[in-house]
Amino acid sequence: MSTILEHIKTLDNNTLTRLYHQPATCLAILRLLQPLAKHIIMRLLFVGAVEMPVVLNWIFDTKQASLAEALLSLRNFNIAWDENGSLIINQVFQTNLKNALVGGGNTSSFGLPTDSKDKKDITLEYLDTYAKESWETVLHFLVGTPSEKRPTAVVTLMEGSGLMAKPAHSHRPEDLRITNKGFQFLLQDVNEQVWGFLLQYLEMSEQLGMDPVDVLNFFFQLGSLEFGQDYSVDVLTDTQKQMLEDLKHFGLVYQRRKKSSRFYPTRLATSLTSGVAASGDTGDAGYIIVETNFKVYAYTTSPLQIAVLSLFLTLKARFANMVIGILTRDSVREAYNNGISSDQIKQFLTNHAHPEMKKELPPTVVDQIKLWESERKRAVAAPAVLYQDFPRSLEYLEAVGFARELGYVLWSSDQKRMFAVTPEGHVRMKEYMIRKKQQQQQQQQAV
Amino acid sequence: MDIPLLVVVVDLFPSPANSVAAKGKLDSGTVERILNQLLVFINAHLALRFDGRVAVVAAIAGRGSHLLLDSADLSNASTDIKNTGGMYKQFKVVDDVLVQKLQQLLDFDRDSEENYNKQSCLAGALSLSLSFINRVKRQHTDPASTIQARILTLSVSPDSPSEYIPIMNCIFAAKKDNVIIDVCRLLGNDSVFLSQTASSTDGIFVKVSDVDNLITVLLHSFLPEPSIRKTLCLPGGTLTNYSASCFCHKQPCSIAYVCSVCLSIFCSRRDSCSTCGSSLTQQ
Amino acid sequence: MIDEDEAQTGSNTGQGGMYHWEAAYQRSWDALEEDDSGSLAAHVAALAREKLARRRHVLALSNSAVPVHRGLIRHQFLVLDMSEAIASPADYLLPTRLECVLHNAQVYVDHFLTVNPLGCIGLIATRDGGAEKYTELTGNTAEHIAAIQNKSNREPRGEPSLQNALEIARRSLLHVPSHGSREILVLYSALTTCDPGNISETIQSLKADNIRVSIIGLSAEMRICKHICKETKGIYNVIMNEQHLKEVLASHVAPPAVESEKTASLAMIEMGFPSSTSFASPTICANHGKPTQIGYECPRCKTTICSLPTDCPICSLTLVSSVLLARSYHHLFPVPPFVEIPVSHRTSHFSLSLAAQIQLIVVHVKWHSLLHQQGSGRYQCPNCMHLFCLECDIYCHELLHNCVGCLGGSNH
Repeated sequence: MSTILEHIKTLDNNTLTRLYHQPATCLAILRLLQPLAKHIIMRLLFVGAVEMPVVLNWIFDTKQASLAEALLSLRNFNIAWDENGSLIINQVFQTNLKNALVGGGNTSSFGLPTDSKDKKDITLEYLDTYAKESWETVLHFLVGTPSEKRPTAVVTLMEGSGLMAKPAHSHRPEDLRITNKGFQFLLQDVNEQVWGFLLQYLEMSEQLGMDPVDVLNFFFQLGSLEFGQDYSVDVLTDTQKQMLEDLKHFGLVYQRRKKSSRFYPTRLATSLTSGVAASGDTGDAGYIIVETNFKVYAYTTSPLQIAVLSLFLTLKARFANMVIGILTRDSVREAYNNGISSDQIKQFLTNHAHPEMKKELPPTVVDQIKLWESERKRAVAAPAVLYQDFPRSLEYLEAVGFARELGYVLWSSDQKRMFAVTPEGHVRMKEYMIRKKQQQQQQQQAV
Repeated sequence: MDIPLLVVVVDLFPSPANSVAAKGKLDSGTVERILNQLLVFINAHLALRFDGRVAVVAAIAGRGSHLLLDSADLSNASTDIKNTGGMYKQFKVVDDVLVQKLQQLLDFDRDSEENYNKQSCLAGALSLSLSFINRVKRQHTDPASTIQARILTLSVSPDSPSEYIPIMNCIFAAKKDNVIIDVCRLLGNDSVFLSQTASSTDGIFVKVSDVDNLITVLLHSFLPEPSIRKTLCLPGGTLTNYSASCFCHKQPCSIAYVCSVCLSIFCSRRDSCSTCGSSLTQQ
Repeated sequence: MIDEDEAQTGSNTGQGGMYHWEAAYQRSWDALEEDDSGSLAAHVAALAREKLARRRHVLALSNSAVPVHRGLIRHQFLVLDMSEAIASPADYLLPTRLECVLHNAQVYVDHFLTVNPLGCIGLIATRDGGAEKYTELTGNTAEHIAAIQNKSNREPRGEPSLQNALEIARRSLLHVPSHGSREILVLYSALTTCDPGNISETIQSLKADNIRVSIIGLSAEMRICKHICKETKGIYNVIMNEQHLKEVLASHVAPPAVESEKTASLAMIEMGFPSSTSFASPTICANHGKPTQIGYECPRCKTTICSLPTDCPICSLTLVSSVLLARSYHHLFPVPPFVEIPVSHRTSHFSLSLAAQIQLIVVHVKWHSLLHQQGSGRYQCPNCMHLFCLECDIYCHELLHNCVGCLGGSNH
C-alpha cells in the first residue's frame, strides 16, 4: 500500500496531473493519504485556494509539525502547493475528485458495467475459487512446486522482480530458484503481495513502452470496481486491454474467453485500495494457533501454506486436517538466514491467527523470536586495525583519547591496553604515533 | 483501527413550528438545497475511508423518527447502477436510497395535515441513533478494530420544553457510550438544549444562516473525525449556559428551591411540589 | 461462560432441593452441548442470550411502571470488613476475596455517585476490633477510590466489630439534614463480631435515628445481621459468587422508594447553580485550599470552589450543576417495562396503527432481523406499542432511559 504511494511520489508533475484526470485515481489516492492531508484536501475542494495564514490557523500551535508534514506530502503528490502566499489545489485533481463525489465528467472511470446479461451465470463463489487458484498457482511456482502451466508473463515477472533467480551458469527457465526476497514475499499478506507484483509490473511496463499513467489508472480503476459485476472491455485503452490479458494470469480479473467483451474483477482486484484482506469471506479465515510452549498448530491442508510454514517451523506431525510444528532456535535462525525478519514472522502469525487467538500472540513466543534475531546481531564485523602492547598506561590513554576524539575507535579495552580503529583512522593514528615517538626522543635527548 | 460511523440526524422538515423558528425561510426549495449539500457531505465522509459507515435518521414532527439509511446494508437498494453519471458507485447508491426514502416520507407527510401541529421529535431521533449505534457496536465482533461513532444533528426545530428530560437522558447515554454529538443549527435560531448537548458530549455547535454555503461549513467543521480533532482547530468553545431553568416559569435562575423527592426546580418557595405531588415542609 | 454456569448451579439451593455443598461437583464443561457439526457456537449464543434475558428481568423488576417517590438525596456509609476474615480463601471470589471485594466496592462507589449525583458516600473499615473512617461523606469519587487503593488501607488485621462500625457511621449520619436519606451498607466477610457493648442498644438508636442498614454477607448467613436489617428496614443478602455480588451491589445503587410515612421529612432545599468561570490568576479553592484557575463561584457569597457538587464552605448553600440534577430525572419518568411477546405470536398479534407499522418496518425489522432469526423474543412498550428486540430493550432501560417509540409521538 505504502509502496505504491512511494512510487507515485517519484513521478514528475506532468505525469501526476495526467494521472489525476481519472476520478477513480483521485479517490484512491485520497484514501491512501494521511488523515490530516485528507482533511486539507476536503477543505480546499470547494474553495480552490486558501491564504497560508488561514491554513496555519487550522491547526493547534503544538501540532504545526504535522501540518508541515501533510503539506509536504501534498506538494510531493502535486495535489496542493503554496503559491503567492496561498495554498492552491491542483485544478485537475479538484475537478475529478468533485466528479467522483457529485457526479459528472468521465463516465467510465469507475468501469462501465455491461448492458446485457451474461449468458452464463458467474457466481461469486466461482470468482473466489478462480482467484484463489490462479494466485496459488503463482505462489506454488515461486516455492518450486512442479506444475505444467507456466505463463510467460508470470515467469518474466518473477525473474524481473528478483523473487526468483537462475543459478549463475544456467539459462533454462526450469532452473529458476526462489531468492531471499522471494522468501520474504511469501510471508506478506495477499494484498501486499498483489501490490508487490503490480509495482513490478509497472516497472516492466515502462520498459515495454506502456504509458505508466494508463497502467496506474487501470490499477486504481480495478480497485474501485464492484465484486461480482461484469464490466465492458470496450471502453479500455489498448494498453489496458493488454494488461487485462496479463492480469488474468494472476487471478485479478476473470475473462471467460480471450475475445470476450466483458471481464469480472475478482476480490484480489476490488480490495486493492481498500486495505481489507483480499481473501474471500469464507475459507481463508485464520488457521494458526500458537501455544506458549512454541508449538504451532496449523489447520490447513494446502501444500502452499505448509511450505510457507516450513520456512520458519520444524514440522513435527501431519494429520488429515492439520500440521503441527515447533518454533525452534534452529528453524527460526534458518529463516533469518534466508533474509526473513522477526517482524515478518510475527506479522504472518498474526495475520493468519485462528479466530480464537486473534487478540494477541503469546508474548513469550514473540519475545523469544525477537531475542533469536538480536543474538544474530551480537557480533558485527568491520575491518579494523588493532593497537596493543602499550608499555605504559599513560601512553595507552593518550592514544585512545586521541582516536576517540576523532571518532575512530571501534572497540577498546582499558584492562588489556588494546583498542581497534577503523582503517581510515589508521592513517591518522600512524601520523600520531610518529609524532609521539619524535616527542619522546626529543625528551630523552633533552634529559 | 477505528471504524468511523457517522449518524446524521436530519431535523428540517416543514412544520408550522419549524417555519416560525426559521423565520419563514424554510420552504421546500431550501430543504432541497440543504439535502443536496448533505448528500455531498455524506459522500465526502465515505470517500475519506474505505471502511467509513454512514446512517441517516430523519426526525419528522408528529411522525416519529426513522432510520432512512445504513450504508453497510444497501443490499435491497433498487438503483440503476448502469448509469452512475461518473460517480463512484457506492456514493450513487447511498444518494439514491436516501433521496428515494426522503421523498416517500415527505409525500406521506403532505397527506396528513393534522400532523403539522405536533412538536419536534429530536429526542426520539437522538434516542434512535444511540440505540442504533449500540446495536452496531454489539454486532461488531472483530477485536482488531472498534467502532468510533458520532452523531451530527442538522436541526431547525425550536426547543420544546417537554423534550428537556429525554434530551438530557440522551446526553448521559452518549457520554457513557463515548459518542460525540455535533450540532449544526440551520437558519440562524438558537437552541439552548442542543448547545448543551454538543458541549456536554465534547461535540461542536455551529450556527449556519447562509444555507448556500452549508457544504463548506460541513466539510470544514463536521468532517473531521474525533481522532483528528486533537490536531485540527475547530469552531465552538462559546460559553454554554449551564444554569438551571425553573419548572414553573422556565426562567433561568442561579439560586433555586429543589424538591427533595424528585429534584424539580422552582424559583420560589412553595408548599407542595407540582411534579411529584409531595407536600413539603420548609426548612 | 464459566460465570454463567456457576450462576445457574448456584441459584438458591442447587438442584433437586439439595444444598450447593451437598450436590455432586459440577463440571462446567459438562453443561456444554455440541450441535451436529460439533460446534459450540449455538450453545454459546444461547448462553449469551440467556444472560441478556436475565439482565432484562432484573431491570424489569427494578423499574416499575409507576414512578415511585424515591429519596434522591442519599447519604450512605459503606462499611468494609477488613478483618482477617477477608483474607480467608474463597473459591467463589476470584482472584482473592480481598481483591474481589475491594474491586467491586470501587465499582460500586463510582456507580453510586454517577446514578445519585446529589448523593454522598463515606467509607468505614472495621478491623482490630475497632472501626476507622477512611473517608468522610462526600460526592467526590476520586477521594474514595484513592482511599480504597491506599496500600495501608488494604491490610487485613484482627477481628471485626459490627457495633463500632455502626456507631461511627450513626454518629456521622446524625449531622445529615433530614431531607436526605441515611443509609449504611455493610460488606461483611466474618462470621463473628467483637463488640464493646450490647449491640441491641445500637440497633435501637439506629432505628430512632431513621438509619437504614443493609448488609451483604460474603460467607454465610448470620442471625444478628438479619436481625439488624429487619429492624432498620434494610435488606440482607448473602452472596453466592462474584456475579451475584455484582447483582446485589447494583440493586443498592438505585435510590430506594420513599415510604409515605416519612413524607414529613421532605423539604424544599435551597440550591445554587454556579456557572463555571476561569480566573485571570489562580485563586484559592475554599474547599481544598489549593490554587485553581477554572472553578465555580457560589452565587450567594461568591466563594470560589473547584468542583461540584458540594456545599459552599462559607454560606453552606448546596451547590450543584443543573446537568447533574437532570441525571436523576429518569427515576421520576421511568420507561415502563416492556411486555414480552412470544415468537409464536409473530403474525397474529398486530393490531398496530399504520404509522406504527411503518415505523416497525423501517426502524426495527431491518437491523433486528438477526436476533429474531435466532428465536429471541420481542418486547413491546405498553404505551406506544412499538416492538423492540432484547438488545434495545436492555439499552432503553439500562442506559438511555428513553423509549424511542414514545418519543416518536405517533401514538400519543
